[in-house]
Amino acid sequence: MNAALSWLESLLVLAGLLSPLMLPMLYFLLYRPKRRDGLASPIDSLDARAARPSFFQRWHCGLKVACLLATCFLFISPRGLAVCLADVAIALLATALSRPSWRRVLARLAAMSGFLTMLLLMLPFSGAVQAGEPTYSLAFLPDSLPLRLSGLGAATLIILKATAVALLMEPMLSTATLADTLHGFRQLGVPASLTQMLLLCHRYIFVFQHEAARMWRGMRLRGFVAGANAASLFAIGNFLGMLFVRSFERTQRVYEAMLCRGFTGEMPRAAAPPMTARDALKALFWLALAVSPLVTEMYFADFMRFLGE
Amino acid sequence: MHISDGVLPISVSVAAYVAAGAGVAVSLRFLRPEDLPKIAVVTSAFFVASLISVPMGPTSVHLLLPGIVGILLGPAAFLSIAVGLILQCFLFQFGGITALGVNALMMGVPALVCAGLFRWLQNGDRRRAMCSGALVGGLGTALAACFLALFLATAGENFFAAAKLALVAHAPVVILEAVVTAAMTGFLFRVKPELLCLPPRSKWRGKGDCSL
Repeated sequence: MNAALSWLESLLVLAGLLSPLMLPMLYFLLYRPKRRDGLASPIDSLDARAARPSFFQRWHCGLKVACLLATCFLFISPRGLAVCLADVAIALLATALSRPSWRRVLARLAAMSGFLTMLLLMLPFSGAVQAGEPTYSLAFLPDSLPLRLSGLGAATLIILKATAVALLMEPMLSTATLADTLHGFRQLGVPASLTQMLLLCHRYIFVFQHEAARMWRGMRLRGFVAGANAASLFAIGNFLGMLFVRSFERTQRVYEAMLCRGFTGEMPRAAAPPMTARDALKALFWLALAVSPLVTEMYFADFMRFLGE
Repeated sequence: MHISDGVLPISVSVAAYVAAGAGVAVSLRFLRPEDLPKIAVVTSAFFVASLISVPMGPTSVHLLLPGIVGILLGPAAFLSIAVGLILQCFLFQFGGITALGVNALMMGVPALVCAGLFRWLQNGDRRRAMCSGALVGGLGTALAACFLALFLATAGENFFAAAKLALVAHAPVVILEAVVTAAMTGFLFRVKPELLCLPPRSKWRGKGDCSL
């Protein structure tokens, strides 16, 4: 079954396939991130809003991380279009409840859009056409490259799943200080040395980005303009080399200073509040909410159809 | 390019999580605790370096740097890359939390290969270090692209075209990465050769801090 689309219809379909790219455009229009040439704009610290009270902020960290991580894996398991849409709605509700920085929520979605657009452009046009599957020929593509509805469906499912999981990141990560969040991961069995490294890295990223920006400004003051040529690439190579040398030397100094202050491989942190019945209730409520679309689809499909009739 | 959430079947995601987790556990076991802060700092330096966009024709790309991580950190490269990817996912949603295992294998295994190859090729000569730096830098990216294509292909026949596109799209980055890695290796060889983890047969024997 093949239907030929007119030019206007084909262009509308193409616009639909490119629609995830609206997100980065929206981000740039709304927030106009300042780009220093070559260097990305300054990073926002992950836990800048950790003190804002919200449903997730008051939840026990270990339970919160466990429940949300389980939900992430649940959301990427095989499921239909309606369930995926419900998942996105639940994730959106969770994001709103966590009172996040919407700028970063949009930035997260925009960061995925390139990869997802690539899939949306490739999947409908690749793969074998099944017998009896409806296909559409776009006006500006040869008939041998029809748009397959099943490919389009698969790409849409991926986009919805990726969006749902990305929306859960803000409630999971930015509603407590990073030290507390990582302690939550530790309670799930992530080794302490790994969480310590993540904590140190998160601290150092900002220091080194500042350092890199300073060096880059120095290069520009000396007349460096990045171009697509071998001289530029060599200059960038030397720049990276210098960044590593400086960071290594800094490490040495910082590590010695840490030893002098009694570092034993473990950062001291205040004791976390114990888990209460309220935290457990929240976990039950959240898990029930997260599985509700799937359960509705599994057990009440007949009932829904009955209501429809 | 990172794989997002929901692209691969959950079985592949979970299996990759287990494999990458085992890799990280092995790296952690062989490391001395006092080395961890050093690796953390180098990891954040790579993280910042990978945010710098390099002009390429009308557009610009960011570097992947698995080759350089391998050269500088040797066997600890896998751990460093895994930590860097976790942070990229946490901060920017580059890759997703359920695809962390896949992305860690995709970047970490090439870094380990690069680490071994670079050490094997050294004899204490700067020109040779630069050439092997270029080779390893290009190879790291090319291998990462191959892993990306391979993982995409596990998602089913529909993804074969996307996998091929991913391979082709990385070709210019391979060249950029080779040149930048060569320049960086030459620079470090002159300025701070002990960072390069030169093997014992080089003339920097004994000076190298290869404990990382």
